[in-house]
Amino acid sequence: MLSLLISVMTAAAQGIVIEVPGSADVPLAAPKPQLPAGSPQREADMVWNAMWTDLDQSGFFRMQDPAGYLEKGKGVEPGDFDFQPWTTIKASVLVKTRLYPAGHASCGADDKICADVYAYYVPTGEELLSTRFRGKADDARHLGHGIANAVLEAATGTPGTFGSRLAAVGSQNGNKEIYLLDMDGMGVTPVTRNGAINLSPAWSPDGGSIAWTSYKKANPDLYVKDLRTGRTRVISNVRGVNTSPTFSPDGRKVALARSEGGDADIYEVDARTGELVKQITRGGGIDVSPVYLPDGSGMLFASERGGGSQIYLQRGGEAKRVSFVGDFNIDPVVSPDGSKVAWVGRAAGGFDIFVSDVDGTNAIRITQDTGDNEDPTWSPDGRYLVFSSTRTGRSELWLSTADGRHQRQITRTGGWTQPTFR
Amino acid sequence: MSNAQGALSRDKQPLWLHFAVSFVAHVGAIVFMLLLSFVGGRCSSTEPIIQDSLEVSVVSLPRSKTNVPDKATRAAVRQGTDAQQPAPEPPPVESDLAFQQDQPKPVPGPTDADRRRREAELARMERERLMEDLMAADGPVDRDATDPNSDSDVGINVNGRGTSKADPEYVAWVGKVQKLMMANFHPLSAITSKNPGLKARVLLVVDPTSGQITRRTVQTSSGIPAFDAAATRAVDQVGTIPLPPDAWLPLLASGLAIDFTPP
Repeated sequence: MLSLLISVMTAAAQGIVIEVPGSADVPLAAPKPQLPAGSPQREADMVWNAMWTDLDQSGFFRMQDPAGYLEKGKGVEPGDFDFQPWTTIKASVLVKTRLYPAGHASCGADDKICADVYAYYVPTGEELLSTRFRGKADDARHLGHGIANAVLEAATGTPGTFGSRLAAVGSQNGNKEIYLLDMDGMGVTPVTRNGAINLSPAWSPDGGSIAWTSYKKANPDLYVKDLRTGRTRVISNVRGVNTSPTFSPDGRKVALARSEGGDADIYEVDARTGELVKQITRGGGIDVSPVYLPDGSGMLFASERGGGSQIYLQRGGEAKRVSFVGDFNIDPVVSPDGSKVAWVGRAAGGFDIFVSDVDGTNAIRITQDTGDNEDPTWSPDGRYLVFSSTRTGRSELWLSTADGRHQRQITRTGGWTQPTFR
Repeated sequence: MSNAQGALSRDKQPLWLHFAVSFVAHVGAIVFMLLLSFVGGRCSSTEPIIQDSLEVSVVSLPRSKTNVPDKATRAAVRQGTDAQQPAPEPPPVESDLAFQQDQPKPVPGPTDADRRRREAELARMERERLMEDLMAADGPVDRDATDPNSDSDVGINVNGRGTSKADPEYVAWVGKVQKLMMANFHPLSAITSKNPGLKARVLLVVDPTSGQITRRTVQTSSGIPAFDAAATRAVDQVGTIPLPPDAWLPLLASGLAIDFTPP
């Protein structure tokens, strides 16, 4: 009988063969945190909501609605519960959390809250993560971001960057001001409150400073603000345009587009003093939106030197055009590893986000038929792009996986443009 | 010179004599043909049986080192009938005698003994097939015949119904099975990103009437238990698959292998 069974199964090698690649969206279940009796629910909700939103935005998981969970109130540690209810609902990853309020005996005597987090791979029951997280009680959301990053690392092998900060232009109060906000759209903090037009924010590599263009003295001048001290200084205020700043990888220089009586060209100035370091481009039409390659070996920028605006790569000698999609391409941004470039292209009357290798090859379109999509910026891990989009009728910030497959709205108040990741 | 004269002399025969000779010759030929037809009709009474066995069109495929055709094809050859039709009746021994008699006799149906004999014969053939396949599987296997992923487009042709992998119905069916399995196959990229060449082959036994997966086993492990577990769980969660086009059912009966790979 056994030999017959073996024969039957071996015979299948002669039959039909179908190849099945894995699905990218792993079903993930995450019941709300368990709490010791009498503990406040609010902090637990904040932790869970932040974690849930991050994992949902990650593009790696298909979040399973807690309303459909069959198990209620079982433990979180291995052996405290049965995997069958999670197998039944087809969960692949299970995240269980127990939260201790500040001052609880199991957490310590300080003002921190604790979360014991277990992640399991349901098909095998394997423990992927078992970690205690501690954080300030008044900053429970960041505890949730930390949990999400750890779960993402356990499932994908690479930690997440949720909780990263963005700088962006917000016009909710009628003026265009610079704000900081979390990657999930929460934690909005103002950088400027000058009542003027403020544009083009850029982070210093250490995250300690923001450079931007402001019309607060009528001329579009370039300012840098030290976020630790709050001090602001002008680093470029030639008569004309001083705009689209970007810090060099070592943080010592700022490249910008400025016009001194003619078309805008690319210049480098000292990030601290504003002294001219070098003029990068000269003549041949407007040159704007410079961005350094991460290794400092070159620079991308947009130029009208060939007629319509296109993206050019300058490494040492002459600039080489790298965008060939459509007749108008602007705002290049380089991925953190230097391998990819994202930019804005005009197609069928609207603006969309494109991504290609840094030399312009293998271009793909990230957005299509969804309003105007502009101002792309790469997440620190290179997995995501955040950009502004008018697809809802208002200009909001959206997060997309770098392949465009998974897109989520991250702001909901309208008036958001020009995001840039720290 | 003399031949020319003879020809001329025949040309000079009276016209009535020419027609008379021609008439006699034609009548004789017709009578001869009728006689031949009568005799031939008696002798050709067994032609349908022979013809049946010749109507089966078999394209033998290079499937293994022993060139063993698949089950359906072999059955068609041995039974001398269409593999797509219901199983044939046993050879009509007595009816052969009836063809030699002036008055045909009613042909009796197969007896229980006949059925038992036939079932025993089919079982024997099945055992032979399994052994042949087992032997063939030990050596290099040419999967072109049935692997939808191979470049080759050959397939068995049973009763004129091909099983080409380009058949839109087959392609659509493969797509449905892939979609079903993919929706339930979730290996973690923490594993697959470190092992890009992973592959686990799971063999399925599928009920050819309902599509229910009645048995599955990992034939070739990926070497990563979690990856294999994800594959077998996908099969378990799917449970039932749609049936392929009719022409592919015999091959489905031979087995369905799913090669699970990373995203």
